[in-house]
Amino acid sequence: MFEFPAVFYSDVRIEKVFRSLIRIEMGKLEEVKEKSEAGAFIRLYDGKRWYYASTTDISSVNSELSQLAKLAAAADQKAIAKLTARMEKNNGDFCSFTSQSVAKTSLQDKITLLESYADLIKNDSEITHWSASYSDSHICKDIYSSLATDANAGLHFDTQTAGLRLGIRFGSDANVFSETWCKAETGFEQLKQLQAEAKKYIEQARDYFHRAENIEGGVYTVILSPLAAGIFAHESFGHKSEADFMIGDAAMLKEWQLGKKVGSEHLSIIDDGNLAGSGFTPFDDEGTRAKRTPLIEKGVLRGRLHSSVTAADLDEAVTGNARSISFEFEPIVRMTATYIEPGQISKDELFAGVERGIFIDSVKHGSGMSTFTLAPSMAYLIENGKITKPVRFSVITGNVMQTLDHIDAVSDKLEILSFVGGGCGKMEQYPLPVSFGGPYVRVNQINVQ
Amino acid sequence: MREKVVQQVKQTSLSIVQNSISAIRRKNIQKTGCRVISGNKIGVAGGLGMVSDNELFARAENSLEYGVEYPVALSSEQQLHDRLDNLAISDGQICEAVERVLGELKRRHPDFAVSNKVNYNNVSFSLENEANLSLSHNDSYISWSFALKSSTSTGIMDTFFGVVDRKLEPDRVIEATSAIIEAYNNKVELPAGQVPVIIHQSALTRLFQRDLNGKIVGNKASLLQQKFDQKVFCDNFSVKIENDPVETFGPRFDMEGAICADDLRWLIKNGVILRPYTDKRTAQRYGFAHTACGNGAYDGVPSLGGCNMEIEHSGKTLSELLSDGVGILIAIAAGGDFTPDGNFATPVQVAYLTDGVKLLGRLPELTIKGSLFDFFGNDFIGVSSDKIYLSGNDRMLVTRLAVEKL
Repeated sequence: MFEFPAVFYSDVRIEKVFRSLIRIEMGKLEEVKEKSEAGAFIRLYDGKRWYYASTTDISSVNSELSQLAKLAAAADQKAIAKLTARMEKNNGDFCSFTSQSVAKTSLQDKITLLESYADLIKNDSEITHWSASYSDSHICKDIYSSLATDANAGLHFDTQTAGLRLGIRFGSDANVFSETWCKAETGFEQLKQLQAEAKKYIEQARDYFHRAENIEGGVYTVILSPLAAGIFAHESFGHKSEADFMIGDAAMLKEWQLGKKVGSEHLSIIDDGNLAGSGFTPFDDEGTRAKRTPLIEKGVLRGRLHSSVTAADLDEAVTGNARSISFEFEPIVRMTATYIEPGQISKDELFAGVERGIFIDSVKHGSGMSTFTLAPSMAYLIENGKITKPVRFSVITGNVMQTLDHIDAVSDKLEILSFVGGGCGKMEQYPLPVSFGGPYVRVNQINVQ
Repeated sequence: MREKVVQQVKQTSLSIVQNSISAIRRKNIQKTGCRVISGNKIGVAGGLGMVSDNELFARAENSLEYGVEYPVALSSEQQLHDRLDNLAISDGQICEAVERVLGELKRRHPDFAVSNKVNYNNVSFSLENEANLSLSHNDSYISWSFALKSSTSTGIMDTFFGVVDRKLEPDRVIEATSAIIEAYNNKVELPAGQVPVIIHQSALTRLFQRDLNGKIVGNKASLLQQKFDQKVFCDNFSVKIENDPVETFGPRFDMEGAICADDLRWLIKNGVILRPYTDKRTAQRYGFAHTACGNGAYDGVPSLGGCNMEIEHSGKTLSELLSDGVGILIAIAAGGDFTPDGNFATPVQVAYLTDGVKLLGRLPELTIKGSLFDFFGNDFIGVSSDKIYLSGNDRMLVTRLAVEKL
């Protein structure tokens, strides 16, 4: 089938993608589309550099392989062997969504489902602007590599998400409040019974719109919801665990030496592509099987995320985190489902420990370099262990490493959250589907602005 | 009526790790979208690569059954073909240029690593229909994106250089990147008093993307709802829709094949809010002027998203705008946001002190904050007439914001 050039390492990733999108805005059906497309990403390694090609002409793969080989330098077999020694050689059919593919559900059924959610908001006189969207994808990937003894023996697997987004805006002039309810599952059927959850969220947003008050900036104890905790874990620490940032960098390797204490004993962070949801990555885009990778265990650095390149460079094992956003891009080290592990105490006990603080329930966005920020959407004042009123402010911020150390408790239940309509960005590759979550997390000495 | 959209991207992309080219990626992707408009309804379909137009149009026609309303007049009777694709370089030439830049930066700054991407893009976009509309846009450019990191640093990245250019100018890239590294290595204190802040326009105009969106205004959900036709900002503050492809690196026309009339490009003029930006459906639905801001995917229904907006420049250079001789240039500010009532705050991870020409040194981490009605009001100083290569070759916004050390 494929003619892999001798002496080099090479592989081919073929993606067959089904997607549909439906959007209703202010009661009008604005967009309905579905598409099926395919493309291939081809890689060749000569031991010094990688050579990539992306094409929508699957029949040209052998020609692309041949052209990449002409670009390459003389093969460095030692370097190639160092890389391939890290690679898993997985073959076989691991597709799990074929029988319940979202491609089998009619667009009309999807429109009807979305309309049942639009009904929750379309006649609400306080909502001044709204949109509702349904989107899904079923992506089948085939990976073939020069390592296989039989060039026809490939790895076949798939991922699937189906999700809903309701964007609502209350008010006008200076008194406006926007919020989004978003839910993603791995199949269409699972989205049919979520109206009550959506309605409850809309009512919470309405209450926030009516009652939220500005709060003075300052230093507070903050409780992060599972969503906020997940974004914090992803933005503030997860990206620093991506080992491509460490290649050839002695300072980074020393700073991020495994076994080093980097946070409080209450903090454990995991990345696990096995978890169902938008971060589900049964195999990565090099064919490595998903792993549960502890990044921090009880405050101690235990692992990092790898592709075969970074694993070979740092002499560690692959973790199944070489991912790309589509067949147009090369796999780079990315997160999958990243979460903070739960602890022992209940949510009520966690809140009871706060005399005066802030609870961040939903989040617009977050970022994290040496300093992290989370921009809250709905936040609340905690007084004497109880939520007392909704409050408004721009962001919470702090030094990442100090904040990891200021986590003093986590609750006992884990929530993993999945999304559609966005994802993680890293350099040119956005959006990549990921999921994140955690328990409720209490952090001291957070700067509220 | 049938309409066809074709997007093509040919790209050579160089991945850079620690001052070396680690990978070369070539791609040639064509995307075709077809629309069928019939009886105030629209159907769409799209495909990749060499796809049959007949098949796509048939699929688009079938999707008319879903009843997506499109009750607007199609663009017609116009031919426009912009060609800005003069930059023609081979893969060998780009590799050679990038290796020279990386080598020279390594020689000058052995303790600083350069990583990330350099892409050479050759893009084309066309939109045509059966009403004698034929529009196309061809462009070629190189984008330099350098993540810069000190060898002693334990962060992912310390500072950044990025620019998009229609010329291959490795020497200019070397000098600019070198100036940034030198400034980064020279720590300076935050000056006393109120020093003007120099920032990319989009960081502060993004509230207008939301609150001057025709759908938001049409549904009376804008922060600026009661302020149209009123003087809200200062006299010398004007915002226009920018559709010059030389400036935007995008087509002059929108996804509906429309080009904004010159007299409708102004959203804010001399401090007075004039109009929201719109696509055809939004303009018709709410009775607003049509400003040709339709966008969307190649295979989607054209709709209103954001628009390219630009504050009219002051006619003064950046150094002329800095009356006290120095300003705070915001280089990296991640994580900020607006509150619903128009207050803005953000941490600033990297900022430089500048005299408007040179970077004088790196300031400590900061926070900046202010109100929309102040930083485009009495505190507004202007937008530079000169493009600042060190800062993405953009015209930079100068205003006063509250600045504090983090």
